[in-house]
Amino acid sequence: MKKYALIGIIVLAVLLAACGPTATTPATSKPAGTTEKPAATVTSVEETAPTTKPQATAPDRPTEVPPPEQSENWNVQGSPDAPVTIIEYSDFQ
Amino acid sequence: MQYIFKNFPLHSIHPQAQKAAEAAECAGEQGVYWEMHDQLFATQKQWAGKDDAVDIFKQLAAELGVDQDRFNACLDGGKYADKVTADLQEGMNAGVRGTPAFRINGVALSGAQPFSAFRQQIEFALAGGQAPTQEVPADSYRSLGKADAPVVITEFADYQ
Repeated sequence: MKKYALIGIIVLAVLLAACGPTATTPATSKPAGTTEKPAATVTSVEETAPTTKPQATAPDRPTEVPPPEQSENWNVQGSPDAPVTIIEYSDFQ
Repeated sequence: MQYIFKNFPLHSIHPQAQKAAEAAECAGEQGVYWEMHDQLFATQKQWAGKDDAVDIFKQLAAELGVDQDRFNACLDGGKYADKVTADLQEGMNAGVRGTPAFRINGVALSGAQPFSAFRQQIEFALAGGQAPTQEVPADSYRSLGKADAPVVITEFADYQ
Protein backbone atom coordinates (compact mmCIF):
# COMPACT_ATOMS: atom_id res chain seq x y z
CA MET A 1 0.00 0.00 0.00
CA LYS A 2 2.80 2.41 0.83
CA LYS A 3 4.33 1.72 -2.58
CA TYR A 4 1.07 2.64 -4.33
CA ALA A 5 0.73 5.75 -2.22
CA LEU A 6 4.26 6.79 -3.21
CA ILE A 7 3.51 6.24 -6.90
CA GLY A 8 0.30 8.21 -6.48
CA ILE A 9 2.19 11.13 -5.00
CA ILE A 10 4.74 11.04 -7.84
CA VAL A 11 1.97 11.01 -10.44
CA LEU A 12 0.30 13.92 -8.71
CA ALA A 13 3.57 15.84 -8.58
CA VAL A 14 4.28 15.24 -12.28
CA LEU A 15 0.73 16.25 -13.15
CA LEU A 16 1.08 19.48 -11.23
CA ALA A 17 4.44 20.19 -12.80
CA ALA A 18 3.16 19.50 -16.31
CA CYS A 19 0.08 21.67 -15.90
CA GLY A 20 1.92 24.53 -14.26
CA PRO A 21 2.66 27.55 -16.43
CA THR A 22 6.42 27.24 -16.01
CA ALA A 23 6.64 23.53 -16.86
CA THR A 24 8.37 23.44 -20.22
CA THR A 25 10.16 20.08 -19.96
CA PRO A 26 8.88 16.99 -18.17
CA ALA A 27 10.81 15.62 -15.20
CA THR A 28 13.71 13.42 -16.20
CA SER A 29 13.58 10.71 -13.54
CA LYS A 30 10.14 9.26 -13.53
CA PRO A 31 8.90 5.75 -12.87
CA ALA A 32 7.92 3.88 -16.01
CA GLY A 33 4.23 3.84 -16.85
CA THR A 34 3.21 6.60 -14.50
CA THR A 35 3.96 9.72 -16.50
CA GLU A 36 2.12 8.98 -19.70
CA LYS A 37 -1.04 10.82 -18.79
CA PRO A 38 0.39 14.26 -18.06
CA ALA A 39 2.68 14.02 -21.05
CA ALA A 40 -0.26 13.13 -23.27
CA THR A 41 -2.35 16.07 -22.06
CA VAL A 42 0.44 18.50 -22.79
CA THR A 43 0.98 17.26 -26.36
CA SER A 44 -2.72 17.13 -27.14
CA VAL A 45 -3.03 20.79 -26.25
CA GLU A 46 -0.10 21.61 -28.51
CA GLU A 47 -1.55 19.59 -31.34
CA THR A 48 -4.99 21.20 -31.35
CA ALA A 49 -3.81 24.78 -31.00
CA PRO A 50 -2.37 25.54 -34.46
CA THR A 51 -4.91 23.70 -36.62
CA THR A 52 -7.43 26.56 -36.75
CA LYS A 53 -5.08 28.94 -38.52
CA PRO A 54 -7.02 31.25 -40.85
CA GLN A 55 -6.31 30.94 -44.55
CA ALA A 56 -4.11 33.50 -46.23
CA THR A 57 -5.74 36.03 -48.53
CA ALA A 58 -4.97 34.03 -51.66
CA PRO A 59 -8.03 32.19 -52.93
CA ASP A 60 -8.39 28.45 -53.27
CA ARG A 61 -7.62 26.47 -56.37
CA PRO A 62 -7.37 28.90 -59.26
CA THR A 63 -7.97 26.81 -62.34
CA GLU A 64 -6.45 27.42 -65.72
CA VAL A 65 -9.03 28.44 -68.25
CA PRO A 66 -8.59 30.32 -71.51
CA PRO A 67 -9.72 33.96 -71.31
CA PRO A 68 -13.21 34.52 -72.71
CA GLU A 69 -13.94 36.57 -75.80
CA GLN A 70 -13.15 40.12 -74.81
CA SER A 71 -16.09 41.81 -76.43
CA GLU A 72 -17.44 41.76 -72.88
CA ASN A 73 -15.56 44.93 -72.05
CA TRP A 74 -18.11 46.60 -69.80
CA ASN A 75 -15.50 46.51 -67.01
CA VAL A 76 -13.52 49.22 -68.81
CA GLN A 77 -13.86 52.98 -68.50
CA GLY A 78 -11.95 55.48 -70.62
CA SER A 79 -9.95 55.24 -73.79
CA PRO A 80 -7.65 52.31 -74.52
CA ASP A 81 -5.22 54.90 -75.90
CA ALA A 82 -5.01 56.74 -72.56
CA PRO A 83 -1.45 57.32 -71.32
CA VAL A 84 -2.31 55.80 -67.93
CA THR A 85 -4.21 52.58 -67.33
CA ILE A 86 -5.32 51.59 -63.85
CA ILE A 87 -6.37 47.98 -63.37
CA GLU A 88 -8.14 47.21 -60.12
CA TYR A 89 -8.31 43.62 -58.96
CA SER A 90 -11.07 43.33 -56.38
CA ASP A 91 -14.09 41.43 -55.22
CA PHE A 92 -17.35 42.90 -53.95
CA GLN A 93 -17.23 41.38 -50.50
CA MET B 1 -7.04 57.63 -68.12
CA GLN B 2 -8.35 54.15 -68.58
CA TYR B 3 -9.75 52.24 -65.61
CA ILE B 4 -10.46 48.51 -65.66
CA PHE B 5 -12.14 46.49 -62.93
CA LYS B 6 -11.07 42.85 -62.79
CA ASN B 7 -12.67 40.24 -60.60
CA PHE B 8 -10.58 38.79 -57.82
CA PRO B 9 -12.96 36.84 -55.57
CA LEU B 10 -11.26 35.68 -52.39
CA HIS B 11 -13.14 32.40 -52.10
CA SER B 12 -11.63 31.29 -48.84
CA ILE B 13 -12.70 34.34 -46.83
CA HIS B 14 -15.49 35.79 -49.02
CA PRO B 15 -17.84 32.93 -49.91
CA GLN B 16 -20.36 35.11 -51.79
CA ALA B 17 -17.75 37.02 -53.77
CA GLN B 18 -17.77 34.67 -56.76
CA LYS B 19 -21.51 35.00 -57.36
CA ALA B 20 -21.35 38.74 -56.70
CA ALA B 21 -18.74 39.07 -59.44
CA GLU B 22 -20.88 36.97 -61.78
CA ALA B 23 -23.90 39.14 -60.94
CA ALA B 24 -21.98 42.25 -61.98
CA GLU B 25 -21.05 40.57 -65.27
CA CYS B 26 -24.65 39.54 -65.90
CA ALA B 27 -25.66 43.15 -65.27
CA GLY B 28 -22.92 44.27 -67.65
CA GLU B 29 -24.41 42.11 -70.34
CA GLN B 30 -27.52 44.27 -70.03
CA GLY B 31 -25.69 47.57 -69.93
CA VAL B 32 -25.71 48.33 -66.21
CA TYR B 33 -22.31 47.04 -65.11
CA TRP B 34 -21.15 50.09 -63.15
CA GLU B 35 -24.56 50.59 -61.59
CA MET B 36 -24.48 47.00 -60.33
CA HIS B 37 -20.84 47.41 -59.26
CA ASP B 38 -21.83 50.38 -57.11
CA GLN B 39 -24.95 48.69 -55.72
CA LEU B 40 -23.02 45.55 -54.74
CA PHE B 41 -20.58 47.60 -52.70
CA ALA B 42 -23.33 49.78 -51.24
CA THR B 43 -25.38 46.79 -50.07
CA GLN B 44 -22.48 44.57 -49.07
CA LYS B 45 -23.60 44.31 -45.44
CA GLN B 46 -27.02 43.02 -46.53
CA TRP B 47 -25.75 40.00 -48.46
CA ALA B 48 -22.27 39.21 -47.16
CA GLY B 49 -22.35 35.95 -45.26
CA LYS B 50 -25.96 35.24 -46.27
CA ASP B 51 -27.04 31.99 -47.89
CA ASP B 52 -29.63 33.84 -49.97
CA ALA B 53 -27.15 36.36 -51.35
CA VAL B 54 -27.99 35.30 -54.92
CA ASP B 55 -31.63 36.29 -54.36
CA ILE B 56 -30.49 39.71 -53.17
CA PHE B 57 -28.34 40.08 -56.31
CA LYS B 58 -31.39 39.31 -58.44
CA GLN B 59 -33.39 41.92 -56.55
CA LEU B 60 -30.67 44.53 -57.01
CA ALA B 61 -30.58 43.82 -60.74
CA ALA B 62 -34.36 44.04 -60.95
CA GLU B 63 -34.21 47.47 -59.31
CA LEU B 64 -31.78 48.52 -62.05
CA GLY B 65 -34.38 47.63 -64.64
CA VAL B 66 -32.82 44.58 -66.25
CA ASP B 67 -34.69 41.82 -68.04
CA GLN B 68 -35.16 39.65 -64.96
CA ASP B 69 -35.55 36.29 -66.65
CA ARG B 70 -32.43 36.86 -68.68
CA PHE B 71 -30.45 38.05 -65.65
CA ASN B 72 -31.58 35.16 -63.46
CA ALA B 73 -30.73 32.61 -66.13
CA CYS B 74 -27.33 34.23 -66.59
CA LEU B 75 -26.55 34.17 -62.87
CA ASP B 76 -27.98 30.72 -62.12
CA GLY B 77 -26.32 29.25 -65.18
CA GLY B 78 -22.91 30.64 -64.24
CA LYS B 79 -22.56 32.19 -67.68
CA TYR B 80 -19.61 34.36 -66.64
CA ALA B 81 -18.01 32.01 -64.11
CA ASP B 82 -15.15 31.36 -66.53
CA LYS B 83 -14.60 35.06 -67.12
CA VAL B 84 -14.38 35.66 -63.38
CA THR B 85 -11.96 32.78 -63.03
CA ALA B 86 -9.86 34.11 -65.91
CA ASP B 87 -9.67 37.51 -64.19
CA LEU B 88 -8.64 35.80 -60.99
CA GLN B 89 -5.95 33.81 -62.76
CA GLU B 90 -4.64 36.92 -64.49
CA GLY B 91 -4.44 38.68 -61.13
CA MET B 92 -2.61 35.75 -59.59
CA ASN B 93 -0.15 35.79 -62.47
CA ALA B 94 0.34 39.52 -61.92
CA GLY B 95 1.23 38.87 -58.30
CA VAL B 96 -2.07 39.90 -56.72
CA ARG B 97 -2.67 38.17 -53.40
CA GLY B 98 -5.29 40.32 -51.69
CA THR B 99 -7.87 42.96 -52.50
CA PRO B 100 -8.04 45.63 -53.56
CA ALA B 101 -4.92 45.56 -55.71
CA PHE B 102 -4.06 48.02 -58.45
CA ARG B 103 -1.72 48.10 -61.41
CA ILE B 104 -1.03 51.58 -62.69
CA ASN B 105 0.71 51.22 -66.03
CA GLY B 106 1.86 47.92 -64.62
CA VAL B 107 3.19 49.30 -61.35
CA ALA B 108 1.69 47.61 -58.27
CA LEU B 109 -0.26 49.48 -55.63
CA SER B 110 -1.83 47.20 -53.02
CA GLY B 111 -4.51 47.71 -50.42
CA ALA B 112 -6.83 50.58 -49.66
CA GLN B 113 -4.44 53.45 -50.29
CA PRO B 114 -5.04 57.17 -49.83
CA PHE B 115 -5.52 59.41 -52.83
CA SER B 116 -2.00 60.76 -52.45
CA ALA B 117 -0.58 57.31 -53.20
CA PHE B 118 -2.57 57.10 -56.42
CA ARG B 119 -1.56 60.58 -57.42
CA GLN B 120 2.09 59.75 -56.90
CA GLN B 121 1.82 56.59 -59.00
CA ILE B 122 -0.16 58.27 -61.76
CA GLU B 123 2.33 61.09 -61.96
CA PHE B 124 5.12 58.55 -62.03
CA ALA B 125 3.37 56.70 -64.86
CA LEU B 126 2.87 59.88 -66.80
CA ALA B 127 6.48 60.93 -66.35
CA GLY B 128 7.80 57.50 -67.28
CA GLY B 129 5.49 56.81 -70.17
CA GLN B 130 5.87 59.88 -72.30
CA ALA B 131 7.70 63.16 -72.73
CA PRO B 132 7.20 65.67 -69.94
CA THR B 133 4.15 67.80 -70.39
CA GLN B 134 5.57 70.84 -68.68
CA GLU B 135 7.43 73.28 -70.86
CA VAL B 136 10.71 74.62 -69.66
CA PRO B 137 10.21 78.35 -69.22
CA ALA B 138 11.84 80.65 -71.69
CA ASP B 139 13.40 82.64 -68.90
CA SER B 140 15.75 79.74 -68.28
CA TYR B 141 17.47 81.25 -65.25
CA ARG B 142 14.58 79.73 -63.34
CA SER B 143 15.40 76.19 -64.40
CA LEU B 144 18.08 73.71 -63.44
CA GLY B 145 19.12 70.63 -65.41
CA LYS B 146 18.64 69.63 -69.02
CA ALA B 147 15.67 70.86 -71.03
CA ASP B 148 15.05 67.37 -72.48
CA ALA B 149 15.23 65.48 -69.19
CA PRO B 150 12.67 62.63 -68.87
CA VAL B 151 11.28 64.04 -65.64
CA VAL B 152 10.48 67.68 -65.01
CA ILE B 153 9.54 69.01 -61.60
CA THR B 154 7.89 72.38 -61.49
CA GLU B 155 7.53 74.05 -58.14
CA PHE B 156 4.96 76.73 -57.59
CA ALA B 157 5.81 78.59 -54.42
CA ASP B 158 5.99 81.91 -52.76
CA TYR B 159 8.70 83.32 -50.55
CA GLN B 160 6.75 83.55 -47.35
